[in-house]
Amino acid sequence: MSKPLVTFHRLEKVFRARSEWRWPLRWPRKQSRHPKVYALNGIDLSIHRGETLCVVGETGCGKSTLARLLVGLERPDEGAVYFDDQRIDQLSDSQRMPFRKKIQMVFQNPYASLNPRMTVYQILREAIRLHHAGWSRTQVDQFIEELLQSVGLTKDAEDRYPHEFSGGQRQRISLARALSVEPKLIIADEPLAALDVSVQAQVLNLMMDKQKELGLTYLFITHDLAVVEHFATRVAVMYLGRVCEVADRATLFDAPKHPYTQALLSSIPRLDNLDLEPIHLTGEVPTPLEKPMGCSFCNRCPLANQRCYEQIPMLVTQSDGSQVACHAVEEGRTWK
Amino acid sequence: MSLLHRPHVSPEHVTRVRHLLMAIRGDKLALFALLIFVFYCLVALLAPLLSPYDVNSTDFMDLENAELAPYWQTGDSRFLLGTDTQGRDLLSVILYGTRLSLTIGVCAVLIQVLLGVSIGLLSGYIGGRLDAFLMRVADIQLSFSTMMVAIVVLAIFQTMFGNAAYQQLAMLMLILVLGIAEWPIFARTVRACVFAEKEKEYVDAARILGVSKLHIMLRHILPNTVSPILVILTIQIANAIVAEAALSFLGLGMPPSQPSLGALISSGFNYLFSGAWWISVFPSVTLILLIFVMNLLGDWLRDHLNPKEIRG
Amino acid sequence: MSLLSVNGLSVKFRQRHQDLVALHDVSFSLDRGERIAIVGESGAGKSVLGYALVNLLMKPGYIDAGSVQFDGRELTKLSPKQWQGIRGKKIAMIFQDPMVTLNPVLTIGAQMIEAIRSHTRIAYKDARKLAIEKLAHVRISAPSQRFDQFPHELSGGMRQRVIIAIALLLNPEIIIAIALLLNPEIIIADEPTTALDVTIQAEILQLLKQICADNGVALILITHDFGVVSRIAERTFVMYAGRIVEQGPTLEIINDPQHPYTQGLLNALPQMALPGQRLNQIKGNMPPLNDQPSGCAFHPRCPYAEERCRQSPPGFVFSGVSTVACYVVEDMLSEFSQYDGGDSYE
Ligand SMILES: Nc1ncnc2c1ncn2[C@@H]1O[C@H](COP(=O)(O)OP(=O)(O)OP(=O)(O)O)[C@@H](O)[C@H]1O
Ligand SMILES: Nc1ncnc2c1ncn2[C@@H]1O[C@H](COP(=O)(O)OP(=O)(O)OP(=O)(O)O)[C@@H](O)[C@H]1O
Ligand code: SF4
Ligand code: SF4
Ligand SMILES: [Mg+2]
Ligand SMILES: [Mg+2]
Repeated sequence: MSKPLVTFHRLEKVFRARSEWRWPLRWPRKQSRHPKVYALNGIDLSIHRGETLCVVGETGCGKSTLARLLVGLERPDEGAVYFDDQRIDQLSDSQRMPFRKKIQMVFQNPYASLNPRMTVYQILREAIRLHHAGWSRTQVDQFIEELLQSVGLTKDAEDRYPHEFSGGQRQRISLARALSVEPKLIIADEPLAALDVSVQAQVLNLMMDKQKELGLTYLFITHDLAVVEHFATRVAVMYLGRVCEVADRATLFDAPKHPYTQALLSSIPRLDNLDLEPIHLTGEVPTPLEKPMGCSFCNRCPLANQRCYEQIPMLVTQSDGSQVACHAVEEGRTWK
Repeated sequence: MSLLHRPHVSPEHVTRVRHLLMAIRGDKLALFALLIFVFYCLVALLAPLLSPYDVNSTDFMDLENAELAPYWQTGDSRFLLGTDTQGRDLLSVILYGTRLSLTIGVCAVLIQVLLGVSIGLLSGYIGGRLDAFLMRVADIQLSFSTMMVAIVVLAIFQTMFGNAAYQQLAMLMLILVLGIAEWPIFARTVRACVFAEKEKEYVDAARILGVSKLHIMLRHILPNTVSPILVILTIQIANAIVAEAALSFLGLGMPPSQPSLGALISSGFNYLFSGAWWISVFPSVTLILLIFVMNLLGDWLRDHLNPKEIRG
Repeated sequence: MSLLSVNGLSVKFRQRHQDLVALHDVSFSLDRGERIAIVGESGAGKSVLGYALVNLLMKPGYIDAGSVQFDGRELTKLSPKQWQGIRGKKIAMIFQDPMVTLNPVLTIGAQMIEAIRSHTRIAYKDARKLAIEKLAHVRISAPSQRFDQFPHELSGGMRQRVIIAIALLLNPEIIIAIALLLNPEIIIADEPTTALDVTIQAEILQLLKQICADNGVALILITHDFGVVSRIAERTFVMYAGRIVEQGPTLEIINDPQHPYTQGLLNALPQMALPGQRLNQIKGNMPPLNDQPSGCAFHPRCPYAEERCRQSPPGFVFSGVSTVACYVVEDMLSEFSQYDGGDSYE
């Protein structure tokens, strides 16, 4: 197999309280209570060239944090991020410039991800001016026109403001902005969450077309497993800042191995399997406020034993190529 | 209602300006206020052309004509609104006074805006220690009332440099004092806006593209804070004019040789009950109407420019 | 007799030149303890229908014609006073997008307490306790620590949940309705779970369904997610551009949609295409209110549209499975006297 495009190596991220100087804006409270949030606790993951890696998991498990680390909006506390075998997590703003061209992002909220006071032309030109500094006015104009056409918008969209477009059209503009620097990797953080089913189909189709056309790699974060099943090449399941299972799409959906993956898959309402009863997870909702000692899923896992509370399970490659971090799978214990 | 409806409901609301124009056409009171305000501005600009006398000429002040009543009482068609205690034509003096008052108000607020917006932007965007420091400075500045600061500073200046120097620099001093005393109002609002804006995804998107910090602040965030700035701007100009009038009334503002509206009211105040009511009443009415109109406009703008942003 | 029956309801929005029609002649009925779903794309008029049923239409909106009968009582003619005895007590409503946005410079705790205190006078300590309870209610982990965090320190989903928690605080009737202290007979839930991620969504829907089933409460679920519909509702109403275009038993509609729009919606789902293949999107978009097509409102997007579809709107026919408003289905029915399976989409 060829070298992966992106590798996360033992990535950790802890959010701490900001400086306490902002006291007048808070309600009275004891200072020491401000928590540390352990958002990522050692992520090992790689993204291969040309694939679509979908990341799924509960709210607050660190998906967006992972994405923000990769694009350089946050810095990791521990571990490293490699892009094309070069370490990129500690770069300064100017050193990062060549990588910005290669990694772009599309956001969840189509209503907040475009500056309401800039026309579509201005939005797209900004990116082009930074990364193709030498271009002439006519070159830029022509490029923007082609770009808009390639995402299914017409030239007269140029001089309009974002609020004149519908949600799906705005996501197209976001995608055009990301594509304008001709990136290799596009990170999409729940790009469909605010859209209707029918509009979701339009945006997904567009993303697939672009992938075929330009050989893009996607890191796709979503809650919608139906989309995952359709769109992903591989899937990474996250739980509380750790990756618990990584597998090919087919493998994951046919034979989920990690207990959390199994619960997750059974809980989605699905049209093709109407009588499937969801597995209900019992136990406390997880908190990223303490660093977990053993498996982060242990207090909700039906298969947990003593070892799970004490030892962190590592990702182990299974016979079918999937990677699972679970003691029970390793020991061969299964669901009753 | 979900945000998803906006594109359907109001395709007409294309730009902020057009939106405001449309709204003001439907609101008689606001339109009226705007017209009066425009009238004031024109008067201020064109005072030298409009006023019947040249206030700078030597024969303008003629003590023989002092305290003449308005035209309709005396029948003296030279002085439409009568004359003041120094025999100046009241109408001319009011025209020039309005010009002065507005100039001082606008310039003072420009200083406020310049200071407040840049400090607010820096504070909000960079955050952390710098933000904490600047905001504490703003708190301290605001905890002294503007009038107190102004009175102390102006009084000290007056005693230090003497009356002659003061008379020359009065306008500049007033502008500086009023300008510097109230920047925190803008700074705070802008900072709150910046906090709201910088969490939005378009700022992240710009950062990912590699847009520089300065550019993000000026091109992305600043235009999104214009609405609240505009609202405060109108109200602050009114406040600055009132403050200037109050200071002049206390004898710390514009000298009698170059009277602003406040100084005029003050100079006529002593004659109010001795029969020469017009000296004080006409400038007062002029001032009150101006302040009233500006407050009306400010409130109207507040209602029509996304109210959510302003509360912050 | 049915619990709620809606007849020829139409709703308009007052505009300067010409009133915009948001609901055209909507009719349906709901039995005691029945669970129905209203589905359609954004802007179809689902929320408008929900608001109209409880007489909470926003300002320029008004009920133009039609009747809403609840337990034999005409609701459209009630005075605000009379409504008080019904809204929230007999008919509870869970609103979509509660118009609360979080202030980025205040902790979420401060904002929740502000909300509580603006409604009731209680001590800070009690308010805090209540707020933390509500955070736990929407399944935010470690609520007492989250209480002191700023909005940007939460994940996207958590922020949405905080908003829901605040909505719960602001509308105590809703919590009560959910807890069934007031024994409502109908719950109208407008996209109650779109803000939540799937695991929790499933839990809440299960809870809602359970409550309704156990207590014989009828449920009107408004959503655009067929997955949700399939789990909860017994009957489904598909709306397009302010009209109901198809109605019938949920399973039948999902397995065998008749109306071209329903077919399009279901076909657009990712599971309807082979993995990695293009999805079947419906071309075009929902028309805005001020630009409604003539005749069948779906015709600009419909693959089967004919001339008569542009001329006049089709009436309802019973296809054997569901009731549909479409000329093509009507023709098919008259051709085959007997029902002959749904046509597939292209
Ligand atoms: N700037 C921050 N300061 C403090 N904590 C943060 C910050 N950003 C994220 N967190 C915390 O990190 C954890 C992971 O957040 P993240 O946004 O990555 O979740 P997510 O998986 O994207 O969830 P969702 O599905 O809701 O978007 C959460 O507990 C969140 O509260
Ligand atoms: N106050 C209003 N004034 C004018 N038009 C309105 C108003 N409220 C809603 N509309 C319009 O009524 C139509 C139906 O809106 P509605 O909120 O019912 O959609 P919906 O089906 O609930 O969509 P969503 O899935 O986005 O919630 C839309 O075209 C919308 O633009
Ligand atoms: S390691 Fe233990 S607790 Fe964790 S998922 Fe596996 S069995 Fe459950
Ligand atoms: S009536 Fe005509 S346009 Fe409307 S759905 Fe049927 S075939 Fe399509
Ligand atoms: Mg997220
Ligand atoms: Mg709605």
